[in-house]
Amino acid sequence: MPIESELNVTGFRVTRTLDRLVYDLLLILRDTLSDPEVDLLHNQDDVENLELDVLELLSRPIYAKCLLWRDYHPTGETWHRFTTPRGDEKRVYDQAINYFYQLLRRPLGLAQNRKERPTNMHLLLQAGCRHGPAERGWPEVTIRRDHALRPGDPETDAFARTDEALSAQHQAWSEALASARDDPASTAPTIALRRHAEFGPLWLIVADYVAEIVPELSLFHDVLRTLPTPLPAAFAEDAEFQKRLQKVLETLNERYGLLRSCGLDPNRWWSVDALSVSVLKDIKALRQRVAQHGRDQPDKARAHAYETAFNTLKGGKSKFAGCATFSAFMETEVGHALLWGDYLPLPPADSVEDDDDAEDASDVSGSSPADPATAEWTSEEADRYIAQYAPLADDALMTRVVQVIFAGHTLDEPEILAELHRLIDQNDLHRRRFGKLPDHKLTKALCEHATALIQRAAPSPA
Amino acid sequence: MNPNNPAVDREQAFWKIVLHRLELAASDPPLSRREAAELLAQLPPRRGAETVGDRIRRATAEARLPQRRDNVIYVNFRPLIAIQRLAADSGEEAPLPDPGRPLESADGRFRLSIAAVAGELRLTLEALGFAADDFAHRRLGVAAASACPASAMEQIVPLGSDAVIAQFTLNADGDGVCTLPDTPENRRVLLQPVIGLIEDDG
Repeated sequence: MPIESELNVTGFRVTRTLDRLVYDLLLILRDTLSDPEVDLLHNQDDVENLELDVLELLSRPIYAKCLLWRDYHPTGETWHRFTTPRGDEKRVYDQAINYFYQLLRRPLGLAQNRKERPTNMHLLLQAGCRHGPAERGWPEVTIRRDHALRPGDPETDAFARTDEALSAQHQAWSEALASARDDPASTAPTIALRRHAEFGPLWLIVADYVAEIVPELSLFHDVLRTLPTPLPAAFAEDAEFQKRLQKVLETLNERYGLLRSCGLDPNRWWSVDALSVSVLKDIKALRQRVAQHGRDQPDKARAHAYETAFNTLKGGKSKFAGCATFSAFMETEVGHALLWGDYLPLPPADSVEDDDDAEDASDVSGSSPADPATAEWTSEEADRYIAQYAPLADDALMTRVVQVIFAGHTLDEPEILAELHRLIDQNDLHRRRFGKLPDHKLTKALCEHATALIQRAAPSPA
Repeated sequence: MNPNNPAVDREQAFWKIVLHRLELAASDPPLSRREAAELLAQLPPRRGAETVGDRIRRATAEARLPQRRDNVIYVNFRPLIAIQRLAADSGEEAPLPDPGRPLESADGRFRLSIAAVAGELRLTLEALGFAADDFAHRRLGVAAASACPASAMEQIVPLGSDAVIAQFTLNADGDGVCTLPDTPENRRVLLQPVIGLIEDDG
């Protein structure tokens, strides 16, 4: 199946750059995990192929600008350039390498409030495993905690590969725990250990096969190596798999985004003890409040602005940004760097999204968080803006394209695609312009045409 | 925001969001596995446990290195850390640091003291803490940051022997001393020196 083949997205809406990354990763994973030749467990070339695919993706302008955009430190931008045998130049952005190895390959930590529940990474693995061979029981696979369970091995080697992947993860986990015990500066995964003691180990259960699974897994490559590959391509259209992948990326990205928003270099990840997410959120609010009163103030005025903002935001709370007073905050490494150090600038004023404000992705019981940008407009209001917008007037096709995209749907959903084809057929001009395009080129052409119409309008909304 | 017309602001913000989502929807799909494999073939061969990210950075670092010249003796220099100095506005072109304030690397592993004595520069390099054990009896050097791009850190860079202005063999305590001519060229290198390990070819 060509990588650009349609992907029906039902598990989430594409409204932010991070959502588009989920969509693109689904395309890459479908291409990789459904290929019977690929072996991520044993073949390092396959692993590198996959990693390079993701690195090249992250280096595309849309991601460099909107996901890694916080890295616009004047001296920090590095591009690696390559020319393929066909003469195409491909570029890999250095920050994309940091993002992949620092963040996407990171095991997902266990959140405090999950109690006995597995992480979203485990639930992503479970959703993927359910597309494994039915004759071996994969569609009924479960991952859960249990004090009483013991490993169970059916008299078959059907699960030898799964066993090999899980054993390797166990070994890495044990080594990490041992080094954490030996190194007082290292932070042991205390929540994971506590939950293990309280509720028992996590188990992967497929029919008679029962194996312990480590409490913290990475997407690249713990989950991918454990899946019973090759999977049927349909796994990528499973709403549960899509939703879990989105949750996983939101959680992984949250700290990165907050570090950037606080002007800190995420290449230094900081430990949770040194800089928790709630402290980062406070510092972000502090910077934003000071920025409202001008960015380039003299030192004395800036210090005063920070102190005023700190005290206002702290209000009656006992602590803000982890400190009881502004002077205590200024004695912290981050506080000092914020005011006097070489911190990164604030996001550009015209940024249209704030993708570090991920919901706590550990909460899986509720529905997807409402997109804050969408929430600002009711669908009636959005429809009214679109209907009244002169460049789109009397153009049912472009009106529909804008409605669908604003709502966070993708144009390659089957019903939407069928409707667009119908609208194209009803208009001679559109039939000549779009009628002969294959579907994957059609969706791009429609979006580009809608963009051009909107941008050409005066006064430009852009 | 336009306080005179918030309705216009609101509508403009709406269209800005629409344009961003159209841009997201119009972006090209990722590379196929075959295309990624073609790109992978452009990277230098894997060394040991290198990741593909390491290989990409090494490819760039190697491409940036000057071509070897036949009449120059090269040393295998593995840059470890660059020392950032704050510029002092003394009016000199390449001032030396205050003799009483040695330079310390940001990772706390090295201290470099520089003193001008009778037309020469006397450099004292100390490996600190655990680094003293790590680098005792090893050969270290000082080169210009411009000769060692940031992406080449911890990777072997073949440098002409004249580019490594100072070489030290550290003693059992991790200390070494080297004397070199007090020239403007050497002083410029010491504005942003890189400390590295000198490795034997064998």
